[in-house]
Amino acid sequence: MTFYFKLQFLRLKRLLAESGLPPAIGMILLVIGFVVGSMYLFYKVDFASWAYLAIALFAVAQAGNKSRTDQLLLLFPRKMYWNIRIRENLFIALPFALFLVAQVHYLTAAGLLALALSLAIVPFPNLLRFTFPTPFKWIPFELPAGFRKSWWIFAVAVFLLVKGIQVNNFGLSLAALVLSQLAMMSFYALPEMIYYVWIYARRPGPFLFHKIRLAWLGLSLITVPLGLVVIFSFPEQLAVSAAILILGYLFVATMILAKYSAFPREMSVPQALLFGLSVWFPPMLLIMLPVFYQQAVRQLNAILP
Amino acid sequence: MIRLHEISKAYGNHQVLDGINLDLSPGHVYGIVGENGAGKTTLFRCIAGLEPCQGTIQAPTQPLKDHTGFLPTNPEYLSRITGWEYLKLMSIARDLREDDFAAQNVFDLPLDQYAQTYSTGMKKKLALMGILLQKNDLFILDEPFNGVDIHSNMIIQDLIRKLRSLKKIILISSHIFATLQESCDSIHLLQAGKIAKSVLPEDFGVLEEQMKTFVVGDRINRIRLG
Repeated sequence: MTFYFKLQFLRLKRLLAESGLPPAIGMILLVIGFVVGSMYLFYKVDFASWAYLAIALFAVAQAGNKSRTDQLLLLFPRKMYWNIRIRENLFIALPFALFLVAQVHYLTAAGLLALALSLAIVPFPNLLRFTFPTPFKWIPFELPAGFRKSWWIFAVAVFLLVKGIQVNNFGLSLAALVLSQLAMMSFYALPEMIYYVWIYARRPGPFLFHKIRLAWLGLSLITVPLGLVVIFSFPEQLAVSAAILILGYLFVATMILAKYSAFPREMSVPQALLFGLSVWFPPMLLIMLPVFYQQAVRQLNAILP
Repeated sequence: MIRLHEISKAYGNHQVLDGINLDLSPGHVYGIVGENGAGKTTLFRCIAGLEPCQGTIQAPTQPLKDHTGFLPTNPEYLSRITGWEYLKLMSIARDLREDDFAAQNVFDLPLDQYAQTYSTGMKKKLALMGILLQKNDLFILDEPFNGVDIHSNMIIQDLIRKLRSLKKIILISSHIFATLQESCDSIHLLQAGKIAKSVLPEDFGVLEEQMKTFVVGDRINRIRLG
């Protein structure tokens, strides 16, 4: 069992090394990122402890997916399997629980650990047996796959939007719009297998524009209705709402170009940082959009000659 | 005609393909045999343009990859994509407006289920349907019969015959010699990165016997059974 956990640690180190960072620095950055992100959430969001609990449980649930637990069951005797699953879940939940304790949310922290423990013991239902309906069936693959993975984020966004209008809070309503835009961007964060690019009878430029066009179509179907509700509910904030709505299109395009700028590898840390900077300071898009485009064309030239 | 001239590929010091020459004519089925690691898949990936290589590939329509359907040994699927959506993606990739997949579902696949949940054989059949719907000119089928049930094997054999009559070029690798004997116009033995032997149908039996003698020999006596 110790060897299994050593192996997981080794995999994490390799993952960090592949992203272009020395593993030690990568781990320090991960810890800093976790603490800063957690503090930001508690600073910005009402009822942050509930949102934090949901995020923590989502992270814990990732370790319990069916194919993964099946593999563990095949590898290890039953007793050792339970030991591994319990330790894994507690290991993932612990940083969240410690932060909740630091924020004096003792009950939530205890609840999180108890839920993490029970998720290790209760078999996770195989949701893949059920085909989740999607409005994007006709435009595979990122949109239907992403929607099925992130539908609950859109549900949260709609809930926030309704709440924001009810309490006349423009910031909360705008957060709902931004949340749905971020979810759409996440559809394009990870590279697909080379085969799914190779199948296209397009050169790199038209291929990228095709991907962006479909993404914008999906973005329009999801975020424009939300944006219009925000605009009609808070007409005095029209300029801000419209700007955020339009920026969503630019961010999704940048995300796609950034993904293919490193293809078939995942984005390196410097590339991800540049992308993050562009989101934080949108005028940088004027530089980064053409830079990512040129890099993406270069990377795709070998696959789409 | 597609002409492969001096195709070579090395990974570091390991020479996988060493000067492959092969002419592929429309309406012909070519079998490629060889041991595991002989370079069959690498050759296929080089022809498909999935792997850079040395040498030249002359084809009437360029780039060749835009008219090539490649069936990998183990097709990998994107998560949370149904069989129907996979076929739609394959059509969109070639600018085809095809979506009547239910009517063309020759393997009776559950197209409304996630492709990642399919069995090994079903995954292979879905991938095959995908490249067939693209109306390619060249079909590269890496182990098309592997993991597929006997009924579907017969359908695949029929499909290959149909493709041949439509003047398509078909390249097949298989470890089941009988399947190649049934469908190929010629079989090429890949050994140490070279085409060691090319035979026509009348000599398929001889090649099979030679392979048995060379590959199997008395090696099973090495393992202490029982």
